[in-house]
Amino acid sequence: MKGTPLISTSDLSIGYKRRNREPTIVSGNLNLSLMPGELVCLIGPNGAGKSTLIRTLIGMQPCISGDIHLAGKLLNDFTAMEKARVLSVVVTSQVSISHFRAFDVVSLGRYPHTGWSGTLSEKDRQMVSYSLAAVGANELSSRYMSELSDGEKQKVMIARGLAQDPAVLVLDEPTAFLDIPHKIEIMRILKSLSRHPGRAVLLSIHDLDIAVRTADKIWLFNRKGEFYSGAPEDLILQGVFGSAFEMGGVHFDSKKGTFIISPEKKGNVSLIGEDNTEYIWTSHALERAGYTICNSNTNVTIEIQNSNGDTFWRYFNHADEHDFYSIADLIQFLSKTHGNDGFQKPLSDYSRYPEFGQEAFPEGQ
Amino acid sequence: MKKTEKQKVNKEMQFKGHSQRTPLLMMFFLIALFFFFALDLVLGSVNIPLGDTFSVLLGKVPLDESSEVIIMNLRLPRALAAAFGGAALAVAGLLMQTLFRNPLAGPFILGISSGASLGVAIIVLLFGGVSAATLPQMLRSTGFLGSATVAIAAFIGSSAVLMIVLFVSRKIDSNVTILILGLMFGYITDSLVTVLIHFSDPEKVKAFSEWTFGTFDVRWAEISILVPVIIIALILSFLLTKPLNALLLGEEYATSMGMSLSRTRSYLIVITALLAGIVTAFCGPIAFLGVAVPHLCKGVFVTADHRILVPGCTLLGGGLALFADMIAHLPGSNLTLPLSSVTSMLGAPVIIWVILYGNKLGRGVSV
Repeated sequence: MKGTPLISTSDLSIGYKRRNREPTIVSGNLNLSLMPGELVCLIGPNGAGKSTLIRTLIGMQPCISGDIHLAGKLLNDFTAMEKARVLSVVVTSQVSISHFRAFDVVSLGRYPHTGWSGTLSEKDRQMVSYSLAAVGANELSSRYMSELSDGEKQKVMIARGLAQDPAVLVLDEPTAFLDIPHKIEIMRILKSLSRHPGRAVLLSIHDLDIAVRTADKIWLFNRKGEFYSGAPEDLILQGVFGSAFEMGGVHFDSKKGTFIISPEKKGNVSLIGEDNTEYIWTSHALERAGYTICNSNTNVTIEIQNSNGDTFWRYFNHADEHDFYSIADLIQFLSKTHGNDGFQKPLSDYSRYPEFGQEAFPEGQ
Repeated sequence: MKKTEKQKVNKEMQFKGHSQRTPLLMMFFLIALFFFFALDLVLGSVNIPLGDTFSVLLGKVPLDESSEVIIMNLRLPRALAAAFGGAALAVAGLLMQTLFRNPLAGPFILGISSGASLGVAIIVLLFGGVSAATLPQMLRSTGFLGSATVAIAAFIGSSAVLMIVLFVSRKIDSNVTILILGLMFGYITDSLVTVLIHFSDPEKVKAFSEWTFGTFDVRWAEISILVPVIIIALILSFLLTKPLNALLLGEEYATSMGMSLSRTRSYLIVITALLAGIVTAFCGPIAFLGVAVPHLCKGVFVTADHRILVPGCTLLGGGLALFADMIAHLPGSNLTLPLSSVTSMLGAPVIIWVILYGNKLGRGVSV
C-alpha cells in the first residue's frame, strides 16, 4: 500500500541565495519523506524556516543544495504544467476577488487539465463538484467569493487545490485566519482528504494543540533550524517540543501536550472530590491561579461537594471554613486571603515575565 | 427551514439564469454598437439625410455629391476609428487591471501615453522649428492627426517606454514593482515634456496640446493600419483568457497551477502596447475609456471571467467611444469638444461609482 514517498529530499539545504554573497542557509541536511496517506504538520517558531521549506518543496524558491524528488522524479525535471498535475498549493495570503463565484474559483483548479480556453469538460465539472462536496462547500457553489466568511473562503480554496487532482496537497498555514471551531473543521477536512489512496497532505501550522491532535507525523524546526520528524507523541517524549518553543513564562506541559502560561507559584492546596468533570475543571482553575494540587500536608483544603444536584466548593484551613457556589468566587476568595504572598514579592520578579506580566499576576494586585 | 430551502432554490435559479443572460446581453451590446455606429455616420455638423447615408454606404451616388465626400472620407473612417479604438483601449485596460490586480489600472498605466507624448513633443516642439510657423498651420489645416510623422513619433515614444518596462520586468518577480516602475517612467517622460513645453513657442505648444486632446478624426491610410493591428491584438487577448482568469487568484496561485508568469506577463504587455500604442499614435491619449469600461463590463455581466469580459469590453468599449465621439462633435453645430474631456466626463463618474458603491453591492471593488 505504502509505496514510494510522494516527496522525498536528500541532503537538502534551504535558505536564500543572494547576489555576490554566500547564501544564507536556514536549515541543512534535511532528509525527509512524505508518504501516501499521510497528514504531515510542519511546525516551528516564527522565522525558523517553515515557509522557506514549503516554498522550496513546491519549487517556488530554489534550494541551496541537495535533491528534491516529487513522486519519484526530480522536482527540477518537471515542467510547470506537469508539476501542477501532481502537486497543488494553498497559500497563506487571502484572495480578494470580486464578481467571481465559488464554483468559478474551484474550476480554475482544473487549469492544468483543460485546453487553451479553460472550458470545462463533463469530467472537469464532476471533479469540481466532487471537490466542493469533499470540503463540505456544496452550498457555497453559486455564491460570490466576496460574500463568503474567512472559513468558507478557505474551504473553497482547499476545494480549488483538490480540483487540481493532485497527489500532494501543500497548504501554507491554512488555519491562520480562522477561529478555533473553523480551524478544527479545516483540519478534519484535510485529514479526510489525506485518507484518499495515493494522496498526502502537508501543511504548516501555528497551533501546536491542533497539530498534535491531528497529524500522522510532525515535522518540526526549532529555533536553531534543527529539524525533527516523527509521530507527535514521539516528539513529545523526546522533549523536542518543549525546547523548540519555550520562552520566559511559557512552558510545554508534556502530560497535557499543550503550552501553558506558568503563573507565579502561590502554594499547595488539597483538593477532595469525586473523579468527575467538576474535579478536572476545579484543578484547572486552581493551577491557573498558581496553586499546586498535592493532597498532603497543606494548609488549605478544598472539597467539592454536591447537595441536591448543586455543586459547591468548601474551603477550609485551620481556622476558617467557607462555601462557594462558583469557581470564580472561590478563586477570588483565595487570591484575596492568600494573594499577599505574591504582592509582596520584589518587583524584579515581574521583569521575568515581560510578555506575560498580566497573566502571571492575574489576581491580587 | 422552508425559507432557507426556498432561498437555496432562488440562488440556484439565479445561477442558471445568469449563464442564459450573458448571450442576450452580448447580443444587446452588439446591436447597440451597430446603432451608435450608424448614428455617428448620420449625425454631425452637416445634416445628411438617413437615406443618403445608406445609399452612400451601399455605393450608390446620392443626390448631393458633397455628402459622399463627407461620409466616405470623414465620418466613416472616424466611426471605424472610434469603434475599434474604443474596443482596443477597453480591452487593454482590462488586461492591465487583471495583470496588476489594481482597479485603477488602465491602458496607460505603464507609461504608454507618457512615452507617446514625449515622442510627439520632441517632433512638434523641437523639430517643429525647422518649418517654423508653417507646421502648426499645416497641422491644423490638414487635421493635426493626419500627420504620419506625429503618429510614428508617438508610436516610437510609447514603444520605447514599454520596451524598457518589458526588459526590466524579466528580472523582477513582483507585479507591483513593475507597476511602480511604469509609473516612475511615466513621471520622467512627463517631466521631460514639461521641460520641452516650457522652452517652446506658444504656437507649437498649442499644436502639441491639440494632440493631447485626442480625436478619432483619421484618414483611410491610418485606418488600414489601425484596424488590422487592433483585430490581431484582440484575437491574441482572447487566446489569453485562461491565464488571465488564473491571474485573478494572484501570481502565486497562477504559477502553482502551471501558468508561466514571465511569459504571460510579456504577452500581456506586448498586446497592451499594440492596442494602446496604436490608438495613442493615431488618436492621441484618450482618457478614462480604458479604466472605466472594464468596470462597467464586470458590473453588467456580473462576472470576472475573461471569456466573457474580453468580448464584452470590445463591444462596450467600441459603443461608448462612438457615443463619446458623437457628443464631442456636438451634432447640429460646427463646434467640436476635445475628445478626452468628453471621455473623462463619461468615465470619471463610473470610477467614482465603483469606489463609492462597488463594495456595498457585496461584490467588492471590481478587480
